[in-house]
Amino acid sequence: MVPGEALRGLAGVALFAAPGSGLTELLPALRQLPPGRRLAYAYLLGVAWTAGWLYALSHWLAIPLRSLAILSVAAIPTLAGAAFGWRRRHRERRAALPLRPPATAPPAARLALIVGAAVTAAVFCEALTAPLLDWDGRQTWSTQARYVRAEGSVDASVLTAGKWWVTCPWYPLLMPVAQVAVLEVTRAEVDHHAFRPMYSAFLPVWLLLLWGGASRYAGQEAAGWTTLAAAMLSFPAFAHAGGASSAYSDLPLACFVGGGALLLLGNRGRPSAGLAAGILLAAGVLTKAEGEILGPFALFVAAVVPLLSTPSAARRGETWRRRRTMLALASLPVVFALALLHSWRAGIAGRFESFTRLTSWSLLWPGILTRLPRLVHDVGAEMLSYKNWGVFWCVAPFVVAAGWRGARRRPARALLLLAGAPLGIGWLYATIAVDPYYIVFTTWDRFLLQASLPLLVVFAMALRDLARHLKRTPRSKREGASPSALGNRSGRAGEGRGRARSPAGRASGRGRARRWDRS
Amino acid sequence: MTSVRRVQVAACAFFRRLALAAFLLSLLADLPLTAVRTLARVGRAMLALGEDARGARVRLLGAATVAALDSIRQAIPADGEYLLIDGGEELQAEAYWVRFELAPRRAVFVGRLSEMERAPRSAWNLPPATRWVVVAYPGGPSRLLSRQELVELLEAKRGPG
Repeated sequence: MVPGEALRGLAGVALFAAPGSGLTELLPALRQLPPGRRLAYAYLLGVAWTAGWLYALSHWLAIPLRSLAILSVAAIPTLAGAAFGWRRRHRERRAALPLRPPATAPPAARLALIVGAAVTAAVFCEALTAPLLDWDGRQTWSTQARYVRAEGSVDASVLTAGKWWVTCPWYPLLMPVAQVAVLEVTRAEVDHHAFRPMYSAFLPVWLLLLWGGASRYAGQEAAGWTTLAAAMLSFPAFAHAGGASSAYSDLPLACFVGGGALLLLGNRGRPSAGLAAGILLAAGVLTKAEGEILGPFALFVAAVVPLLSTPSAARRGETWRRRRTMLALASLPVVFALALLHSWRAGIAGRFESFTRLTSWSLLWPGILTRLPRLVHDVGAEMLSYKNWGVFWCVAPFVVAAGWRGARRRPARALLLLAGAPLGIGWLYATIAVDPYYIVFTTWDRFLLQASLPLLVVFAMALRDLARHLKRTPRSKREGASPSALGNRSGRAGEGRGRARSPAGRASGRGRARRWDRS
Repeated sequence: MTSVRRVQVAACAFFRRLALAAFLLSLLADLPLTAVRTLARVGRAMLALGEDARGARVRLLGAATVAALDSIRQAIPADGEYLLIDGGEELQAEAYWVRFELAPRRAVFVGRLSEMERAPRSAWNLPPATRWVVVAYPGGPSRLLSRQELVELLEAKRGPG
């Protein structure tokens, strides 16, 4: 590793973090997040904004993907955010707002921070010192990036003419465009691996999103333990077939869709959260073929589940009125991304050829049932692989079963639906596959990764419930209270969603919870 | 509380304790793998201090492979196209990796060398306009051939008749 070359790789990360920071400054729902989570969203928004606009400008206006265009696209939110932030801080200084005292993190969260930082450092070490050696990264994503960079266009003739040998030319190009942006701005040679840290940065982003979502719904201690367990999973960090050490698009897709969905579910109808979520879901649509389903599905879940969970018509109307602006703002970028994807794909030769070669819809029935036992066996073998997942999936069902009350809470339904979507796609894909074992072997872990954020948040909710029951003292049992060592460390007002801090509040909170459960 | 209910409560509490203990044990079980993988990567990065991107390619791909790829790149212009043949006996990924290394040069995939050797000459599907042929050998450096050299190679392997 030569310092100059390492700086080039890190500059690639900064290329997206800077415009993303500008966007988080402009969007109030993200501006108010703690610094770590804000930085995670900033990175995602930066990739989504920069690569998304470059994709659109290249396809619709034939603007070449060169440094001038890339830096211009990145500079707009960077400068706007900087100006707005300067003005805001100036106003706040004049108003002399009191500083919020720093919250103390529970030991589990500190452990998660240490392990997460160590694993992230290891992944960055590999990205900065070695060329790309993974399968799909070389077979598909980075090869496409080289074609796109050479012609300076997402409509490179090698993709559109159909004369040459290209694997999956119909795959969306957001990540290859981001890769081109890094290589162009840093003026890297064609062989240089300066783009690899851009993929590695999705690992800390994934951990921070998980920490944010889990601490919101399960409190900081359960979130800390869950994030610690996630940081120790080998697949998301080290796998060369989908992890942060590779140039696959699965971890970015998990972050875009998971991050967007958590924003939509977690904010009480804030329009700025809707816009940010929409940008992230749009990026999901442009990141991978599954994103075309997962992005709109996340919007659907965020729109419908809160309504279905509301028992009375009057309250449903109120919920809808509160959330409709947010949902409308979220759907705009998604519609834009779908239009871009279909417009771009219309010009691509050999569309879906790689998919149709491996699958046959005639296998769907009765294969969806008859293939199930074999698929369960193969999926189980993948999930129980110590090399990829440690022993996490041996223990997780046990924890969720023991803490099932936590998984009955309102957000869990939406989260389980969101987690079920990529797993359902994986199941369907394996069902119609000519060789189901091959499909499970090569794709299941990655579908699991795509589902990981909502799944792990539900795990955290179960863990919190589990620990809450164990820590209940005889005295508190007599009083009907359940002081939560895990849940009361949330550190933010409102994070417990009305969980009891006083007997009256406790009663009303339980009543509300029962109403959600009945629905 | 009835005795049945008491047994139920005790069983639930035991199940919860067991689940929590299993979770904590799983963290301990995962720790060695995470530690080994983390330390291995950091250690390798320390050993690679001062090595540039080309040095890393030579270390991981092998000097002969990198030299062969460099000479092929010099021969075929960046906007040129070439015929790519998989030199392996069975379906292997070498052709993908060579295509990646030579991109943005455009590849026309012809097939596997072993299959072409067995097929009659009339069945070789060689597009006429392409000058260069690259044979991707698994585990070894790729070879750049002219069309004539490819024909001679195939004829030699087929033997007389």
